[in-house]
Amino acid sequence: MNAKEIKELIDLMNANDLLELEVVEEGTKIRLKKMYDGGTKIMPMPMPAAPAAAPAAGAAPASGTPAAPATKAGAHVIKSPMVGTFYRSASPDSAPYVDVGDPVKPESVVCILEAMKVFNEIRAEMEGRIVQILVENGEAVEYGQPLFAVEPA
Amino acid sequence: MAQTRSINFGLLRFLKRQERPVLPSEIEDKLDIDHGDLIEELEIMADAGYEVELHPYLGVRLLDIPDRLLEHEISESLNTKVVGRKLHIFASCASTSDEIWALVEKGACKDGELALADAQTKGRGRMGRAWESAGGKGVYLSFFANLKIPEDKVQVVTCAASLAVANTIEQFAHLPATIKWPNDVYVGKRKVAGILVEARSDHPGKYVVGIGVNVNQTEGDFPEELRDIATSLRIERRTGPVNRVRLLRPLLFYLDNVFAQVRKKKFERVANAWKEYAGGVGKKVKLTHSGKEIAGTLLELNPVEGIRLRDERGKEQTFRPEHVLTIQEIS
Repeated sequence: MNAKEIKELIDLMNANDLLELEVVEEGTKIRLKKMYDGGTKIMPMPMPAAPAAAPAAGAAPASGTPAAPATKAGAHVIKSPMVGTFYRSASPDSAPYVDVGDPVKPESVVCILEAMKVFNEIRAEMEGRIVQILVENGEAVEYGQPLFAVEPA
Repeated sequence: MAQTRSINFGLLRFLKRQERPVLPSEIEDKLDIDHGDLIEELEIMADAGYEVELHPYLGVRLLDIPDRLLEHEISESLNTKVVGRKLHIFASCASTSDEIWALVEKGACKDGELALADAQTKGRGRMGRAWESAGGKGVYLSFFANLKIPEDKVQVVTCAASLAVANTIEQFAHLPATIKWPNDVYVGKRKVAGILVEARSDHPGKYVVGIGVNVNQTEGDFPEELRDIATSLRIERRTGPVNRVRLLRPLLFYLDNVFAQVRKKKFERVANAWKEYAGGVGKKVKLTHSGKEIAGTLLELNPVEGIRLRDERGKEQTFRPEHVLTIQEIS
C-alpha cells in the first residue's frame, strides 16, 4: 500500500466521520485511528440541536491532517462526573465496555473512573450508539470533561 | 450443621452477664428449667461453637463466643447508629458488594445496610484483581453509604474506610497499622486489609464500600506468590486465632464514626486523621499519574488538598489526589 492509497483512506475516514478504520489485504494490515487532542474543544458545544456549532463533517480539510473530529450534530456527550482516571474496561485483560459503533442502553456501563480507589461505573443513561471515544485508556480526566459522544436512538 | 434446636438466648444472655462460674442449681432456679434441660441447652450451645465450661465444683462458665458470623451475636454487640443496623449474612456469596448493589438498584437499601460473608467466590480488588476470600479466615463486608458530598471530595470515602480499618487494627489487635496510598492497610511490610469503593453514575451520592481484612490466615493459607506481600492479624499477633465477631464490633463502630464525619462534611478532619497513618513524607517516592511515573521527594501527602513532590530536577510539582494512582517508596 502506498502513501497515496493511505491518504485516500484518510479522506474516506474524514468524509464519513470515522474514528477508526482497519483494512486487511493480502499480506498487509493497516489500522488508522484518529486521536482526539484535548477535551476542551468539544465542551462549549451545546448539546441541543444547534446547527451553527456543528461544522459539516465532510468539509474536513483533505490535507490529511486529522483534525479533532467534531461530534455530529445532535450527538449527546457523556461527561465525566468527577476528577479521576479513565478506564475503558473492568480489568487490563478484559474487553472494553464499549467501542465505537456499539449500541448502548441507559443502564449500559461505558467506562470506569477511578479516584483514590473510588471506582465509579459510568452508565450511558440514554439509548443510542457510541460514535466517539474522546479519552484514552488510563488518562487523567477533569470534572465535566467529555468522555463519549453518543448518537441518540 | 444439623441443629435441631435453636440456642436458648435467655440462658446465653444470663451466662454473658456473669463474671464468674455459676452453679447449675442457681441457673435452674433463676431461669426455671430442670437439670436435664440445662445440660441439653448447654450442649446445643457447645455444638453451635460456644466455649462452655462445666466445672464439677465451680459450675458453668461461658468462655468465648464462636468465631462464626451469627446474626444474633453481631447485632447484639453492635454499637453503631447507621452502619450495620440492617445485616445480611452469607455463608458464601460472589461478592458482598454485588449483594448490596442489587439492593441499591432495587431502591431497597438503607443507609449503612451491611452484607457480611464467611467466604466470597468473586471478591474483587482494584481493576478486576481477585481478592483472596478464603472461607472463615477473614472479614469480608460491604456496606451502603448514602452521602451527599461534592464530586471533588469522593476520595474522602476511601480515606474514611481505610482510617476506620487502621484504627481497628491498632486498637483491637494492638498492631501498628499503616496506610499505603490510597487505601491499603499494612502491618509492617505486608498488606493486611484492602478497601474498594464503588459508585455508579446513575446513582449519584450512593457508594458501596467493600472491605476485606485478613484475620485468621496462617502463612500456609496464602498462595506462595502472596506470602511476601500479604499477612493476617493472626500471623502478626502470634497469639493464636482472632475472633472475627469480636473484631467486627470495633470495626463497625469506627466505620460508623468516621462516616458520620464524612456525612457532616468534616473532610479535613478525616484527612488529618488519615495522614497519621500514612507514611512517606520526606521519603523518596515514585508516583504513577496518567500512565506516567514521576520520581522525587514527597513533600506533602494530603488526600483532600493534593500531593506535593520535589522532582529529581528540584522542581516542585503538585498533583491532584484523584489523579495519583500509586505511590511507592524507593530506596
